[in-house]
Amino acid sequence: MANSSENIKNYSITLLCVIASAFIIFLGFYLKTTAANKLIAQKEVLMKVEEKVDRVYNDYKSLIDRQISMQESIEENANNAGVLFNEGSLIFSVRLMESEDMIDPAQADMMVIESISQIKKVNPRIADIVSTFNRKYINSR
Amino acid sequence: MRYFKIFSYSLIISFYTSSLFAVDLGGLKLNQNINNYLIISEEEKNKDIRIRKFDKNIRIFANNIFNLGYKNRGTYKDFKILSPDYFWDTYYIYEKDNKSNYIVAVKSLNRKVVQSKFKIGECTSLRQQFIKEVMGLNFSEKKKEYKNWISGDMIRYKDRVVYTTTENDISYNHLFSCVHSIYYSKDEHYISTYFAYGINTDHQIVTDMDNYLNVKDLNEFNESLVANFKIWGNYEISDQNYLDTDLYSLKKYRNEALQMHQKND
Repeated sequence: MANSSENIKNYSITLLCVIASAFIIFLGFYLKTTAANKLIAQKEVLMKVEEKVDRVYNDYKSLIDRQISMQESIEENANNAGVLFNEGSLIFSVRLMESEDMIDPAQADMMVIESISQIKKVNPRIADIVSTFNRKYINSR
Repeated sequence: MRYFKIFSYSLIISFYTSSLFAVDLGGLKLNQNINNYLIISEEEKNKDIRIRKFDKNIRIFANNIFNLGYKNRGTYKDFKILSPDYFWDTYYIYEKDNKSNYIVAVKSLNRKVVQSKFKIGECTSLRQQFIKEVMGLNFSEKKKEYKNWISGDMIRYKDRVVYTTTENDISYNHLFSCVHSIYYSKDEHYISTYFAYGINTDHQIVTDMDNYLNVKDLNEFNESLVANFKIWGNYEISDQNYLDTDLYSLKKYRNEALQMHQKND
């Protein structure tokens, strides 16, 4: 009888050990899986954050680029308008000075040619028009 | 073998001696007493017409009758030319402090031709050949200058190449210039062109002349500008290289001038 209870005790201990081992294995496996999942989830989160940051950065960069190109274009237009205005006034002043005998016709012509060359760099069509007027003026003097 | 040696020695000797006596123009040398060259009276020498406006201490003397192929407007024979090159029409000597300060030879290539008949590349092609002839193997500094100025009712362009050589510790400037004058009348452009070769040891005289003429420096120039120039502006300048040493052969030009001279001699 005593022997039988000893056996039951041993079996119980063995079973407990087996259950405990299985539990530990299961726990280990569970913890590992959870950690891996967490890691994947973290990576996904990080990737999404990176993507968002990239998108925001690219949007911001393109906005800045657009602003710079717009500024450059405005600046160029302003410069071109300035050139047209300056050279136009110069041509007018030179012809006026010529008519008042303050400068020689050849000297005036040369200055006007230089102004038309400057206008041509900015706007060839306006240079054509100015040149046509200039020709008319030269032939009529 | 013996003949080859003699030939080699004579080549070497001629090379060195030619470099020693290279810097002259028609036998006229720089920094010489002007009286050694002049064959005019003292009165003629001191005439006001000879004084240059850009520097009252400088006088000019000319010879334009050695070449009978050249149709002169006026005739000058102020000095003898020891070894004239009949390619040139006129030789000039600028004198300062009784010394030959600047010597120039000029060849007129065309006079008031209509723009459509302007020979593009003529002057630069002749100049290229002449530079080869004068400079030979001499190592020298090279500088290109493009100028523009107004003279009366003409618009003038000068394309100048300056070489600087040193001989016996003296620095010589060789100026090779193509000068184009553009004149506009009755809806037509006319071009006059001359080629000039000048030598001096002091570039100041050229600078003074340029300053007096109110010459402006240009960044770029080629003969297409002259060919396409329009007084009312808006003309094109091509980047093309117009050199043609076969069509505009220096030898041919020189032979023609020489033949004309010999016919009339």
